Amino acid sequence: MRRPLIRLNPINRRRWAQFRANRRGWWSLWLFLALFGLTLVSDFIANDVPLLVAYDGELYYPVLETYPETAFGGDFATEAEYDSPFVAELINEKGWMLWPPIRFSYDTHDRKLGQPAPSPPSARHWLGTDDQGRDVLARVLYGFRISVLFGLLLTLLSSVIGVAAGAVQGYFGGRTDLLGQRMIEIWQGLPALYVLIIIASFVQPGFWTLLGILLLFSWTTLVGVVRAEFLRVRNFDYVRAAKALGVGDAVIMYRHVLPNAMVATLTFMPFILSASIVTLTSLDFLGLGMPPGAPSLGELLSQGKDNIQAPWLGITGFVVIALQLSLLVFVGEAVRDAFDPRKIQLGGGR
Amino acid sequence: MTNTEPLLEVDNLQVHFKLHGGLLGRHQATVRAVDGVSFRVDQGETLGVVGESGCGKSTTGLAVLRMIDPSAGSIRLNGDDITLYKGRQLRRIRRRLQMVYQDPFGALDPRMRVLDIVGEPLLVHKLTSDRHAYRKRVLELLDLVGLNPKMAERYPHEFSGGQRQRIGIARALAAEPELIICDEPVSALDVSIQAQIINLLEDLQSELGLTYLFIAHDLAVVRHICDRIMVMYLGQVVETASRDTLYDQPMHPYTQALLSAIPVPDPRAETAREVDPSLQGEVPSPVNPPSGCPFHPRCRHAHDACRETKPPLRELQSGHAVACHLYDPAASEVNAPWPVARPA
Repeated sequence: MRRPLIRLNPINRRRWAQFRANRRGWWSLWLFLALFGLTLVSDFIANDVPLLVAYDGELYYPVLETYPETAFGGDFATEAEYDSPFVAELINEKGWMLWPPIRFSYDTHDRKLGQPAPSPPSARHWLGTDDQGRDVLARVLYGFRISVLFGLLLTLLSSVIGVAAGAVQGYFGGRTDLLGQRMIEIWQGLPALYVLIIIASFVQPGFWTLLGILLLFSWTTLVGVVRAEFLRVRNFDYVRAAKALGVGDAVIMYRHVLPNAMVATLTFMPFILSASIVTLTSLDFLGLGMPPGAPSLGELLSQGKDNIQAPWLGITGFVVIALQLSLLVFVGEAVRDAFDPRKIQLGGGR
Repeated sequence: MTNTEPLLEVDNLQVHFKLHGGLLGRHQATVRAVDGVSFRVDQGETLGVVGESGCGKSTTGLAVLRMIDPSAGSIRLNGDDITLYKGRQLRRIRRRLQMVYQDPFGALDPRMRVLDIVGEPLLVHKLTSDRHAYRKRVLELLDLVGLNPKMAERYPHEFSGGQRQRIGIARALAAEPELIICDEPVSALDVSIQAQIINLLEDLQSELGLTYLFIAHDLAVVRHICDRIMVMYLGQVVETASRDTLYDQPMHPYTQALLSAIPVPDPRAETAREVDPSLQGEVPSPVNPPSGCPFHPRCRHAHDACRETKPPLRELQSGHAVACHLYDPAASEVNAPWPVARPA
C-alpha cells in the first residue's frame, strides 16, 4: 500500500529485462500497442463528419457533438450532412471544414461510388469498398478496435472468474476441489461453439450479451493452473503460519497465495486474448456474432468468401487478422519466456 | 508446583488420521499419531516435548494450536475449553496461542517486508489503533528480538537463518500470546546460532513472563531451556519429569536409551560411550502399533506383561511419572534391573 506503484523487485526487474531482450516480442508489443492506440481514435481518422468546422467565427466539433443543419444556415433541424454540396457550400461561405484522412465511417454507404459495389481500391477508397459500398479501411479500423476491446474485456473478466474459481478449489481442496473439478470437466465437455450458435439463434446478441455468452465458456481456461498453484502453495509454511496467526482465509488467499499464481495467470493472458479474438471473429464469420452493420473482421472475411471476384476483401481481412494474432502470439511467447525461471538463470537477460 | 489452574491442560488428547484407499476411497486404516496424551503447562514455565521423529510431538503441538482437529480429548487454555472452537471463536483464540516454526526460510512470506510480516498479527487482531502506533510497535518488537529496527523495510531473503528465526519470534510475540509453541525452533540452524536463539528465548521468557511448549529432538537443547520434560513414544507419553530428575534419574527404558545416545564432546569418552541398542531399528508404524507397551519390541527389559497390557502413566514421585511395567507397585517385586526409589 505504501510502496510506490512501480518499484520492481529484483526478480521482476530481471523478468522485464528478459522480456525486452526478446526483440521480436518487444517490437510486437509496441507495434500492437501502436495499432491499438491508432484504432482507439478511429473516430478521428475515419469519419463521415469533419473533425472541425469553423462557421461564422465559431468552432464546431461534429465528431463529438451532433449539430442540426440549421446551425449552419440550412433548412432542416436534422443532423447536418456535411458531405452534401449544399451544406458544404453553406459552411465554406462563412468558414472552413477540416476532414479526417478517411472521409467515411464504418457504416457510411458511399452513394457516389460510380460503380457497382464492391469496388476495388482507389484513391477515394484505399482498400476498396465492401458489397454495401462501405469503406473497407474504415471498417478494418473500427473492427480491429472492437475485436481487441472485446478480447481484452473477455480476457479480464474470464481471468477474474477463473482465478477466483481456481483459488477457491485449490485453497480449500478436498471435496470442494473434487466437486469443482468434475463440474468444470462436464462444462468443458459441452461443445461450446454449438451452444453459442443455439443461444445466438434466439437472442440477437449485442456487444455485452455476446461478451456474457462467451464468458460462460472462456472462464475455465485459467482454473487449472491457478488451482494447481494454490494446491502447491497452501501447504507452504508461511501460509500455515498466517493461518495460525488467525488471518482469515480470504486474506491469506489474496495476500499470501495469489501472488504465486500471478505468474501462471500473466503467462496465459496474451494467449487467452488471442483466443477470445478468434472466437469473436469466427462467430462474426458465421453471422452469429455482432449485430448486422457492426464493423467486424469476421464479417469482412465472410464478405470475402461471398465475393470471390473482389479479392481485396478477403486479402485485407486475412492480413489484418493474421497480423493481429501473430503479434499477440509473439508477445505471449516473450512473456512466457520472461517468466520461465530456467531461461532467466541461463540467459541472464542482463 | 503450584496448585493454581494450569495455563494449558491437555487431557487424553487423541489425533487419528484416517487413510483412504482403493477405488471407492474406503477407509483402510487409522494412523494413531497422538494416542491419549495428557499434560499440563503452568504459567511461566517451559515444557519440553522430546521423542524420535514420528512420535507425534509436532502433531501434539499442532493440535494444541488447533491447526489439526483432535479426534478425542480436551484442550483447556486458562480454563477455556478450546477443543471444539470453530470459526470466529477459533480465530480469536489464535491470538492467545502462537507458534515459532522449525524452518525459518519457509515460515516467512518471501513477498512481504519484515514490517508487514511482524505486523500481520497486529492487523489481523486489530491491536494497534493507527499506522503510526503499528509501526512503532513493530520496531519495538524487532528491537526486542535483537534486530536493528532499520531492517523493517527489507525482505526475508536478505536475512540469515538466525535473523529470520528472530523475525519469526517477533511475529509470534506481536499478539502477546499466553502460550508460545516452539516446534523445533533451532534444529534448522547452525550450532552457534542455536545458542543465540535459545538464549533469546530464555531472555524473553524472563523479561515478558512467557510460557513455552518446546518441541525438540535435541536433548542437549531441551536440557538447556526446559523446566519440565515430557518424553513421547509412538503417540504416547512414556515419562514426564522435571528436567534435572529426568536427566539424572531416567526411569523409562526408552528415556534411558535416548539419553545414552547424546554424543559427548570428548573423543575419548565418546568412543567409550555405550549406546543403548534399543534405539537401533525403526519406530513401529503408528498404523499398526504393537500390543501392550508400545516400546516392548525394542525394549531389552520387556517381559510378558509388556506384550499384553499397556502400562498406565503412574506418578512414582511428585512430578515424575512413568508408563512402564517395571515400576508397577502391584507387582510382587520390582523387576527393574537397577536400583529404583520405590514410591512412598
